[in-house]
Amino acid sequence: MRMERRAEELIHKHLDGRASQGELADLDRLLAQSPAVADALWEAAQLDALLAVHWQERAYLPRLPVSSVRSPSLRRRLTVAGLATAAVVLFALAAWWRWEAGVGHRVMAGTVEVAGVPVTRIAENDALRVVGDQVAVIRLADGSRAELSPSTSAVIRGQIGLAPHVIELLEGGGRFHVPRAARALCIETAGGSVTAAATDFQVNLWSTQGKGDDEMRFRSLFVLAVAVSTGLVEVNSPEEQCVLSAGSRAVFGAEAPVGGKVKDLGSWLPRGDALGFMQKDRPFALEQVLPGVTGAVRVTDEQKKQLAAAIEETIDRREVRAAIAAAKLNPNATEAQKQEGRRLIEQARAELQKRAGQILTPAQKTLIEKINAAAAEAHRQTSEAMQDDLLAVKSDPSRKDKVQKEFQQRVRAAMESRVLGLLDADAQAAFKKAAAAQAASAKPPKKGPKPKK
Amino acid sequence: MYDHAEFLRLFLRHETELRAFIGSVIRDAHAREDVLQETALILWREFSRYDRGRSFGAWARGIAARKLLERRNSDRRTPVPFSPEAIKMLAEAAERSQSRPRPSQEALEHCVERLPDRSRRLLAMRYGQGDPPEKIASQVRATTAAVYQALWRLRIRLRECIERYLAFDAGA
Repeated sequence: MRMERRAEELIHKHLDGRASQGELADLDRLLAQSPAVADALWEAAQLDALLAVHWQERAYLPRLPVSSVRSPSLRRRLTVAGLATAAVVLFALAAWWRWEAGVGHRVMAGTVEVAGVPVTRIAENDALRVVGDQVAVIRLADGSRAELSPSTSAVIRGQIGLAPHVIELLEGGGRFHVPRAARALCIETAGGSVTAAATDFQVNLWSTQGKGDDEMRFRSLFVLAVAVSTGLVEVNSPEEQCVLSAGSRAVFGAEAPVGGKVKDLGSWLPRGDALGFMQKDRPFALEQVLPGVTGAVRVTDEQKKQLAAAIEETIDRREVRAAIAAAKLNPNATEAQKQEGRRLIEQARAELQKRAGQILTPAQKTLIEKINAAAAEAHRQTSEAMQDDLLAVKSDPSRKDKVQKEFQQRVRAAMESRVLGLLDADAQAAFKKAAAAQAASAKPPKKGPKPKK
Repeated sequence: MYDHAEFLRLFLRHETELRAFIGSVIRDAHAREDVLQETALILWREFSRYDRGRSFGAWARGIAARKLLERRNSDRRTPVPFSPEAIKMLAEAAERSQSRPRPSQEALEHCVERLPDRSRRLLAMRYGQGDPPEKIASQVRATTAAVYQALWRLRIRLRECIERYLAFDAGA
């Protein structure tokens, strides 16, 4: 009996995290010797885990005002008639609450509009939009909870049989909590779907339209970001299917347009910024201004292979692109997140420059340096020559497009004549071939005649 | 061809038990969460090899036990306090318990509802907000030892209540 009491004391101390090293050693010995002690610890640990789940789930329920508690002496004085009245009132309240909870999905906080009209309840298949700058909290009919960010558009789809509840997320995102008692929840988006049960997770859908730049080109029109706080969620994106566990986050659809392995090394050319072309001391894709310039470097197939691998392992690394996508596309990104994105890209660029420097020959590096100097000089001279026009644009913005176009054409012509002067016959031929290929790939596809009806 | 929906269904059904098994060995919340995640990822990766004739729970506990033993040999910051023999005994205790009615959230909710307000508040502070007993003691104006005692008594009371609930449920 004394041993049982001792074992129980050790188990509770262990579960409270206050057992000393000596006591843990005692418990270890007892566990190894006695199945009864192991049974007792297992049962206590099960209760402990159930309690944690129970109270953590309650933390997500809306906080209701706590009614005042009457003192026992007063309670004793309540008459039978009073109790009966209270029971009737409580029954009516419960029926009202059940009716309230059972119909549609309720807006608990924030402003939600359906067809431009603010609503407090959302029917299935209604297209909703969160307006204002407050998060909208929606309680779904089965007890799940959606906290949608401002400007989010979504449709809550109907439930069929035991299939998961479906929220079609058209734009924006939010945090979702699915209690154990609720059915699974599926968030469907243009960037993939996220299915979860008994979890707390965040989903954001960001459009990449108009957001691509030198540093970041996207394969998909949408980027899907998922972060899991508790439990597990399954993500099905066009690229992959995976399960994320608590504490993990991932971004889908942020891969580069070329992405992965370069299949055709013969026609592929590395971007200028990966080769070492610069503008104003920053890596720059010079071929955007001077098409064909990367061809002039005459990178061999072996070098292309090494450069493709270097790009994949630095600036196109998945976590780098995910962090940059999150910082660039997330309208709610904090300054710290933006800085982290910038820091990662600078780090990846520095690494790529270092590796490209090891891959290219000294002659190629010298040529790139000369081209950088020639391009900078052509830019400077053109700016000087067009100084008056460029200044005039400030007072007459209507001329901006025309002047800009002329400036670009003159810069390009000046660069081309200077750069061609640096190249031998073979390099010139490679330059022209690459320029033609670049122009061909940039041309929009020809439109055929419309089919006759 | 393995099925992701099936994995999710099985994992969610056994998640609390898996948490309990890991929590019976290590008490540091971060270390527990780490082991759970490492276990979940192995289960996910190896699911194609999972033998459907075997209990998913037993398979998951086996992998969790392996992760705990690995941690025992490598993690000096949050050490695993038990020997391989003790961990094996706990895994066997979990296996034995499968033949008995399992404590459920429903049973727990039934029993928690029957507790006095003060006790419920104590549990909410400890398990909901994760407050250490020292902080709870200052909030409820009691000594830390009294809070430990109260939590101990509450757990015993809840365990007995759940046993009664499950026995009634089984007999009904």
